[in-house]
Amino acid sequence: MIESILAGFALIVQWPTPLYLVGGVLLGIWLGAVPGLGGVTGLVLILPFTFSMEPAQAFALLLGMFAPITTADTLSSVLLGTPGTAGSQSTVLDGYPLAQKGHAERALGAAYTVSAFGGVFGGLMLLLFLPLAMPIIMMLGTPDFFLLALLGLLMVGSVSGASLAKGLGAAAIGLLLSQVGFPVSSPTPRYWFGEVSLMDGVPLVPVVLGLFGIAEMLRLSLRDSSISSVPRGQAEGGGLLDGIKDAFRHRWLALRCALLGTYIGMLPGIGNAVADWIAYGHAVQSAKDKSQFGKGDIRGVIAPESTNNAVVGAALIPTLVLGIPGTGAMAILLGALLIHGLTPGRMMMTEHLDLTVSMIWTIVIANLLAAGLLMLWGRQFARAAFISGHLIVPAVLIFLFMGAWLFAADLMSWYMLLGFGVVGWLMGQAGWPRPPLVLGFVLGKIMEQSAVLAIQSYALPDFLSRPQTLLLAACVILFLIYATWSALRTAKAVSDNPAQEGAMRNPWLSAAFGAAMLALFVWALVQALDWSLYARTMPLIVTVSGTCIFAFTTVSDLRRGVAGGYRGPIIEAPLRTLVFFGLLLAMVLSAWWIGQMAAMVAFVLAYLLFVGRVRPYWAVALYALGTLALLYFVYADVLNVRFLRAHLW
Amino acid sequence: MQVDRFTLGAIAASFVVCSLVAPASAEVDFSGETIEIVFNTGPGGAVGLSAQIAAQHLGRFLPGTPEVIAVPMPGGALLRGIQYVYASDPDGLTLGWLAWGGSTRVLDPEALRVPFHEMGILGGLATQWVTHVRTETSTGSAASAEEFLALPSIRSGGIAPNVSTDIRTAASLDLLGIENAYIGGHTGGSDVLAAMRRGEVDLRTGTVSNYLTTVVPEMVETGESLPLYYWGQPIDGGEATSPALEGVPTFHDFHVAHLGGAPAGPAYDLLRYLTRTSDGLAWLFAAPPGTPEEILQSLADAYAEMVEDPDYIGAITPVLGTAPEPVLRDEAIAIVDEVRNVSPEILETMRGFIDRYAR
Repeated sequence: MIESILAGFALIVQWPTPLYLVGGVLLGIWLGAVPGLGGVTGLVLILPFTFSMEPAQAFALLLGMFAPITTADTLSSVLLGTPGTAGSQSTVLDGYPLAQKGHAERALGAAYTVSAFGGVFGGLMLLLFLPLAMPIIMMLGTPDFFLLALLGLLMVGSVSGASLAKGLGAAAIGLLLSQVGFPVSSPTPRYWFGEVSLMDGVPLVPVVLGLFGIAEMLRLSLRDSSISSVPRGQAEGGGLLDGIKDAFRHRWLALRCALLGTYIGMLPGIGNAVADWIAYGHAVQSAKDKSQFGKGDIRGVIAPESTNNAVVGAALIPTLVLGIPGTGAMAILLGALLIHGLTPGRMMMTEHLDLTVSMIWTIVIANLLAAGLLMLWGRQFARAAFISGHLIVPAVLIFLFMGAWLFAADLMSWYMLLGFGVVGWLMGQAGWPRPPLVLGFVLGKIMEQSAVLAIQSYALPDFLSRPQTLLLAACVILFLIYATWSALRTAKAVSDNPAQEGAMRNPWLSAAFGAAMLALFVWALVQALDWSLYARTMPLIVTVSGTCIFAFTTVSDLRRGVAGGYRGPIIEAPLRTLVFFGLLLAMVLSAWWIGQMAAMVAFVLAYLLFVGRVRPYWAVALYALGTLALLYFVYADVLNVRFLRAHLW
Repeated sequence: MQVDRFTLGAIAASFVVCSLVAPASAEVDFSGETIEIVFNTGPGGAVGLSAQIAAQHLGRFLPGTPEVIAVPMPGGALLRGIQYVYASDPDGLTLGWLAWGGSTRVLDPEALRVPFHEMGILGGLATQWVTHVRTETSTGSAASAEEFLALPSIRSGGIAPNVSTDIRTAASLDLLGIENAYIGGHTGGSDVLAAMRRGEVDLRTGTVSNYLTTVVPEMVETGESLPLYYWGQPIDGGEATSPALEGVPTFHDFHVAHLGGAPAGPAYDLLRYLTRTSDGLAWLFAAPPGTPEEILQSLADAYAEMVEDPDYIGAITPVLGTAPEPVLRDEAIAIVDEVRNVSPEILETMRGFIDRYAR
């Protein structure tokens, strides 16, 4: 084995492989930092360049690029309140509040430290588990996937903020959204309104970018200030070193979460988006003092960041050992293996062991290198938290819309992004937490699929004879009891923070939102009645539960409204909000007529001149030119994005 | 001078003909252009990889050696990419490398159907599917074909009841007289493979690439799985054999060898139709409707040259697990026409299988 480890290292240091590795890391940092790009985009982009390379070089580039993405995506989560990738969704919950307190550097320092640790840990686990992977992966089947997803859903209490009922309601919205498109084992799509883009379901990217990204950019725009509400000089205890110390202080949490990420990463089909939430939930549940979660608790950053980097190495295990790619990115890497004439399976542990070990070296080096570089640049990045928000908002919005477009190049993805932006803003105004919605959305499809497959594959006695299933079921029951008790305590502890997710807001607006959802769920329930057994089961469970929850919250809010006590406005800054969304809507609608690039540049100009009132004019012109250059040279030229051309002329 | 109506008509017609012929005789030149090959699946799978490899090589065979790039457009049950190509400008700069699924799309609602015959068909690739079974199934041992055929039922794993391979698996098991305990709802071939390795399904059908690169070394050689048959291209009196699958019988030969006679009846007619149209043209290479004939011909010629090129064959063989089986323009057009003119009896049989396993 030592020989193989050395042989693998020799492959990595052989020129020009280090060049590809470093190039990959730099590319990965960029792809991770920009919201909406991510690993799949990068893999698609560079895969053709690797066709003619030696395998070790090709995988140094591919994995060198892919491994640090979950490190770099922290930048967007912490500084912009927008998940850089699906694996850093829950980092937003505490990372962004830390940035708002002027502690962006601290959050980044902690995140990079545990990311490097998680990445190296995942890589080493890959090395350790390669020969043992098969029984470990095969131990859990579809009934266990269902229970694992259910366990994840129980984390809803940890991310619900002040009201558990509203958290459950938001999770129900997410679950209902996950039901759009083709059901499991039935040829007729559900809730798709004849729209082809919805046949495969609502895509994750516009949901997450809209709910968090657009809504946070509006909030930043309305504040007329920087991301940090504390001046740079006054943000004590918020430096990079403080973050590194935090990471060491919470090393056991980082270790537990890295282990969690390793195991979840190994399971095909579960992935980073789920591991991230489970890790966050674990951090909340295992903490004695939960009062700071959601307000800027560093443990809320450490847990998901340690996990999501560990997932990357672990996800390679089923791909390399069994030829079973668990995610889209792993499918591309599997394709890369095939293109280079490599057969996944035992050959990767015998004949090509040196190459397999070189991949592990790549993951380890890439994680350390990326964390080191980001640490070096961290202070510069963190300065973004102290500059005027109006300079950040238009650029980030362009990235968000391009992220959605990159995911699905049709206007429907823009409509969805904008629509979920409005929903995210409305939920914030009405005091409904957004994270449970994402949690329900991510887990809904996995739960339904694994439940339907389990019912088809196993008889009842089979379930009872599986110790692993019984153990997980016991965990679910115990956790349900604990989570309910814990969530009620947490809700009481956090209800005093108006900036927090799900904080108490205007009861009339909340009641209106609840009533609208009640109507939606009743409609969805009626629709589901005629569907086939498997197609209707999950929607019925979700809609009946949702109807009860929304009826309860609506009545509660109405009673709270009648009782009085809330003194705030119904909607904060309604006119400016209208202008913000109006400008975005104008951009989306005009893209077809005047062309997408022109519409986006026009939006940037309009925002800077009329909303941000940025001066001097030459600076505005320069900003707009920079936007045009970015769209043309980076998106059109490098990423081969197909823009809508003008249809007016 | 009196000019009669016939002469006037002839002059007008000659103008029309001249105006039509003039551009047709223009030389096609893609110099400085970028051609997009849109594929309608996510990147990474066989469709995406083969599109990317085609993009790497096609430009060399086109006049003006343009840059060719492959662009993924997944979604809409593979329909988004197809519709995008269909609606693109017919200038030869947007082409489709499409998992077209035409053979089963004929049952889709009218609004979702795609008139593939209107597109500029350029060619495609054929593929094959191999059915294999776990040697230890939930209802008994299947270490040999005889033991397999003696099983009362088998849990076959699939994606959805309206998928061509799932329909054919059901039809094959019907013909072999084995009850199909269908387990549908997997997200793809890899997902079914994982379920099979966990023992949640007993039988599955995978691409020849997957079979040769993963199933043989990992499951067949270890005794975990037994290859049963593959659906060969229909020929008179049976099914064509594939050199890549030496040692594995075609379904026809399997049936003859073990049941003592050739398969027949509506289920086998359906199986032959789906094999001919789904496997015979697994991936369709096409241009948008209205693309001028000279551009189509230039593209089709380039494709025909490319599939003979040793560099291209060398690049795509590892992805497919075997040498590519190219389908040239005329053959592809013939298959698209066969789908268009499929008999109502076959459609009825296909609908019957889908309804039987839809849940």
